[in-house]
Amino acid sequence: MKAQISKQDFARKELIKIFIAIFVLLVGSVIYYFYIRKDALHSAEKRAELTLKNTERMILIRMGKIETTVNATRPMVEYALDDPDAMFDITRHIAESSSRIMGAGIAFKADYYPEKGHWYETYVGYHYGCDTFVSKQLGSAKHDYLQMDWFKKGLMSPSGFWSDPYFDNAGGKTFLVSYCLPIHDSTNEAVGVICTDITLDTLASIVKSVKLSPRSFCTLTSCEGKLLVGPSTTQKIRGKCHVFSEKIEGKNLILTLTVPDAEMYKRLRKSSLFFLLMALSGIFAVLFISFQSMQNLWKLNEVRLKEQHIEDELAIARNIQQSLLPSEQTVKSSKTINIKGLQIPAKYVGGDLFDYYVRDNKLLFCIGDVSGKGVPAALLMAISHSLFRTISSHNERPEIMMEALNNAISENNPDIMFITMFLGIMDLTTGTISYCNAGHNPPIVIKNGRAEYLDTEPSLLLGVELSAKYTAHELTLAHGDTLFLYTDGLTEAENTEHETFGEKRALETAAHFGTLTAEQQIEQMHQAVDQFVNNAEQSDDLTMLAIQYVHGENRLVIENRIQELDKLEPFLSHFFEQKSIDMSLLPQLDLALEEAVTNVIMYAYPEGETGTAELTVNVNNKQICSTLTDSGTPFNPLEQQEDNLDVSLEERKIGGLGIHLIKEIMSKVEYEYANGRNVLRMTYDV
Amino acid sequence: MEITITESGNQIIATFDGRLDTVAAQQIEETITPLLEHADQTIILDCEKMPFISSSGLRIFLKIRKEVSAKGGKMQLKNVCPDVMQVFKMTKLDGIFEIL
Repeated sequence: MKAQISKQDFARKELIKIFIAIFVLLVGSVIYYFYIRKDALHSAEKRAELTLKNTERMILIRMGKIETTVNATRPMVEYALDDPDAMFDITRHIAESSSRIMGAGIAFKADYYPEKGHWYETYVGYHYGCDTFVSKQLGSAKHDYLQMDWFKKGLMSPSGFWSDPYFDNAGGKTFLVSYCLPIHDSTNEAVGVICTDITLDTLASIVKSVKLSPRSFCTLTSCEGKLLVGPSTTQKIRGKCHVFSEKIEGKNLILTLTVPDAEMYKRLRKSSLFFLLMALSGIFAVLFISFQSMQNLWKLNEVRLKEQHIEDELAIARNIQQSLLPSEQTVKSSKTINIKGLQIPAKYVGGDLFDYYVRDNKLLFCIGDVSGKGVPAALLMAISHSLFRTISSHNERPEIMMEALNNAISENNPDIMFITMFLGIMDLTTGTISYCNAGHNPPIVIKNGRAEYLDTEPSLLLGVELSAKYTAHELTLAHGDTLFLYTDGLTEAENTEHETFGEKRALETAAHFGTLTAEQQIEQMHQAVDQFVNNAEQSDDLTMLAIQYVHGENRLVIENRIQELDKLEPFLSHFFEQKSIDMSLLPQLDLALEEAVTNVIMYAYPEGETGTAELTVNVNNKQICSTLTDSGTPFNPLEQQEDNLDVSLEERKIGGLGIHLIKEIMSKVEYEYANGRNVLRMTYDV
Repeated sequence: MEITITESGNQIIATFDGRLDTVAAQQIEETITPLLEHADQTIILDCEKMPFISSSGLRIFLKIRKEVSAKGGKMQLKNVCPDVMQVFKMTKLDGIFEIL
């Protein structure tokens, strides 16, 4: 029996599979999360850097505009160097050229215009109080621009440059940054510097507009670290921040973008949340599907287990049924029969049965076929088997057994199941079989190599009618004869074309048995039907039972028919041959024994009654001892009046000659009646 | 067992071929009727090919012998083999049958 898987074991196995699947999913998710996190950070950094670059560019553009404006004015200044007063107009032009410009001035070297004094700087500046530009000459001892860095540096510089940002304490109270551009005279000597102040507020709008995320902010600082533009409101940033910075080339300004860590990964959060949701729903889906399939699998497994269980039980049933079958060993001690049975059930268990056993020197046998197939048929088969054993144990007549069987089966047969059965009792000494056939297929009798169906009117099936009467018949097997019994599984075996094996084929096969033993006959028939059926599925139980009678070489059984005498001479001849007895003695012994056997055939049994005579011959170095027995009416042939051989022919009665010949040939003749049998012992001196 | 009956002049010759055992005796019961019908003549039974005779066979011979005696004919046996002769001797029939 195969091991059964418990529900727990099964669930455990499935759960392990599911957990492995989920684990793989989770590990995959984590790896993927870190991968996209890195990717997200990278793209966030790129975005921040790009934002900074853009901001820088915007600042550069804005400052560049100032530069362009101022640069464009320079030729005017250089052109008008001869007219110091014109410088005011030019200065105003510069100051008013852009709203960003808070003030502009043109300062000249010391004593460049002697008429104007030591200092000369025309300045136009935004006056916060009156919201207008005011012109004035700014240079003086108090405002000694000549000593200021921007001027000194401006004279030296080949091109324009931006100053460091500085706080305008004077008017704007704001950070300013100046663009300084040197002025050259016709000899290309630096004679002055144009200085344009712009407020950093103009840049602040740009810087403040930078918003990478809600709480990110951008600052503008000087190279020294002075905060020029920052977030408008004070805000505390907790936790980690990402800081990106960019020095604005040539402007002494540094742009810094600060992004809180949380916002840096904001997109990642979103996508990871989405991802998590996907993963979770994936896991749930896996769990759900697993659970469903586990349930289905479990159901399937249960069905499979049930099927397995049924199969196991059927296999056990088959074993039990096969164990009911008799073994040849049980009749081995009976040397006068060869017996072989074969049963191949169609569906594990079948409704066919056969049984045999030896009791009181008699072989009791039966073969039967229960209607239907499978377990119900097998059950009734088992019942019938035990009924046969019980009933046959104390009965001597087959018809009485059959009636008892029929009554037992008919009495309680709600499903109207019936049985065909052939039942017989074989006298192992004589080979005589009394049998009764309850609707079973006629067996084949193989006599002297000739096969024919046992042609007797069958009686009613078993289980059909209570108290039905059955009739017995008799059959005697001689040496080598076989009674071949079978069920319809043989004759109705179908091939793939749905043709049946048929009685004709069965008989033809049996006709070729020749001198085969019972076992070989079964084998041959089995092969024949197998060959016929080919690959078609076996549709019914196949059961065969061959009973072959083999008296020894020193035993001969003869029926009470004159024709049976023909067996005597070959039997004796064979015996003489086997025992190496002088063949010249054969005619005399043959004559004496023929007379004795003839006597039995003619007179032992009443007219019309079938009976047998059994002859046993033994030899030693001096004598051949023959014993002739029969179960006929007690009769002592020795007491019969012998012929008076001396009387004339006319006075002689015909008869009595036989006995005379026996006495004449045999050295000793004895008669006795024992155990219901006439026994005639004859001794012949060699 | 086969019996061939031939007529030669006033003699009837019956040739026995095979064992004249009980079975054969029963079979030839009819076959010998022509012999019985000619019981007034000389009937010669040729036993050359008859190796065996049983009491039933003897009875066939006796039956013919009886008929011949009644009708004034003759029954003669010829070519009797030793085994059959032995049987005649055992039954004292060697004195009754005319054996050539």
